[in-house]
Amino acid sequence: MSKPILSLREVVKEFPIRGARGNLSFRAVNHVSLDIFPGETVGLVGESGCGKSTLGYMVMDLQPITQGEILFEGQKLADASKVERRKLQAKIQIVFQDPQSSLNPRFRIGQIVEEPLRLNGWRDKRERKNLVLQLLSKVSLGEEYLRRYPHELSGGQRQRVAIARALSLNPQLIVLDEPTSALDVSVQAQILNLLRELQQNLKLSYLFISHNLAVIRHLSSKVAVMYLGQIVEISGTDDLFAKPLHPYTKMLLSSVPNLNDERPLEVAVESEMPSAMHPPSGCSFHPRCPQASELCRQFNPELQRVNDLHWVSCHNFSQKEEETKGDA
Amino acid sequence: MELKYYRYFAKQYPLTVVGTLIILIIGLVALVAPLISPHDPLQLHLADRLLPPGHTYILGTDEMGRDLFSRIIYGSRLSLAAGVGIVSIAGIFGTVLGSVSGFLGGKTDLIIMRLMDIMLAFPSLVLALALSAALGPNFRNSILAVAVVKIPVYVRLVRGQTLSVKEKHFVKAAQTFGASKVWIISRHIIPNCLAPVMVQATLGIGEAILIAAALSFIGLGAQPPAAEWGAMVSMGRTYLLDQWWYATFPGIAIFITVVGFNLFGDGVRDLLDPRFRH
Repeated sequence: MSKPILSLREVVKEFPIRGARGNLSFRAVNHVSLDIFPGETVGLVGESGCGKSTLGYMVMDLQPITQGEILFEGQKLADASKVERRKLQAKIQIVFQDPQSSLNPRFRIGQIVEEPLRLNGWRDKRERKNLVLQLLSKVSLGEEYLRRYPHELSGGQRQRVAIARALSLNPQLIVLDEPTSALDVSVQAQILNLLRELQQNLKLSYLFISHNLAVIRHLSSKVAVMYLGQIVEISGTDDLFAKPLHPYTKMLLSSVPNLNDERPLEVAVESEMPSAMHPPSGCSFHPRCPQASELCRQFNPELQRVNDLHWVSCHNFSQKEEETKGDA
Repeated sequence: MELKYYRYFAKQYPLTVVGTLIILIIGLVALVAPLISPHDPLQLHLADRLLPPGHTYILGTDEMGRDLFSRIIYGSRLSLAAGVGIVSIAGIFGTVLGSVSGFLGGKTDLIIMRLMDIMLAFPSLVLALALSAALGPNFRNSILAVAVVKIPVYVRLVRGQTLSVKEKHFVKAAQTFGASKVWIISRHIIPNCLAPVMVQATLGIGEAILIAAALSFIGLGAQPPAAEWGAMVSMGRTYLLDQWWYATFPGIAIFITVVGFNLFGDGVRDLLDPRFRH
């Protein structure tokens, strides 16, 4: 495969805890490494509060990184000069979860899509208008929407506008932060199909952040599972859904209700996610893990290689591999 | 359709309609003052001093023989200018300061907000009095003084709004496109903070007129011979026992105007309240 378009290297994000004595802070994102290749969709799943949105914000430079580095096309974002950085950053765009909040209610649709163009050197008014029309037609919205306000549009239409805006600077990577979670199921499918179409036509890469496994499966070629700020398993989509290795992944998969499948829950969903303010010792998943041992309570497992595309961080993994070998 | 809506509104909020009518009438009077006033408001008729309300002088005359009715008509110009001027100046400066304070946060926020706290620690009339005395007693300075005193109200209001608006994703989106702070504050933050500012401003006009009149009453606002209601009440006070009309009619004018603006302000607030929308 070619070079990754975006690489995260041991990225850490710590938030200081206000009012705490000393330099207390909590880690929202804990040593995450991830590669996204051109034309690829990487799904990022996890429960709310696991740090997946924070990761997206760091890619967008909306949150400073505490440690580690983010490389775009091999170039460190932190090292780039302000001008270069703007240019690089223009190639990464974001679509937020709730289009109600991501579109300024006082702007007309035309102004919303036009804003990034105005801010990035398109001086000519007519040229901008033509571009806006092209962008709207890419998301199947006609000229009649130009002068409307966001509140006159449905949720799906608004999300289309948000996507058109994200496309305006010809990005190579789009961070999709739960782009369908605020929409009706029928509209979700339309938006997902639109995203897939755009990806094929425009050779886009996506970082698809979601807690919805079905949606992730539909769109992603690779899936990273996050738990309390760490990636616990990463794998090709089919592989992950067919053969989940980490107990947390299994728990997530088994919690998806399935009409055709009558097998009982393999791993019951147990208890709540612990607070990131007081992370458990050792493997962060051990309080909820049915197979937790003393080892898990004391040491945090590293990501181990299963095959080139499949990595998992679990102490119990190698044993299982032996079991499957024994079966074969 | 539109008409039906207005009729419904009038039925639902009769007092708002009364307030609106009062303001419209006063505004019209101020606009056409030279056409409708029977006498020159500054013309002295020394033979006709302190006449009671009658045929030639509908509301009587003052101690210089000037026609009170004409003076009250012209006074509406000054009072409206004072009210609208004060809330406009205070509103504009307050909005800018509040949005900058809320958006930038940190030290800027701390400095601006502590300054506003200091100003709020004084009773507004006392501070306006001191400022106006320091600037020199005239009508324009009294408006400026009251406007400055009213700024903190708008700063606090807009800062609070800004804190909630700046967390919206459209602000984050604008940041990712490389929008400057000035761009974000002027295009995204302020337009989304304006509704409560409008409510506060319309509710504040009445009070502003009252304070401006109070400053004129104690001689720190409009100077004689200007036809200002507060100044007229002040002069008429001396003659209250024998010539009751002199202080009373300008006082009634202030009263009606302030009530009109307050009723209108209440209506605007109800109208912009999300719970009102059906």
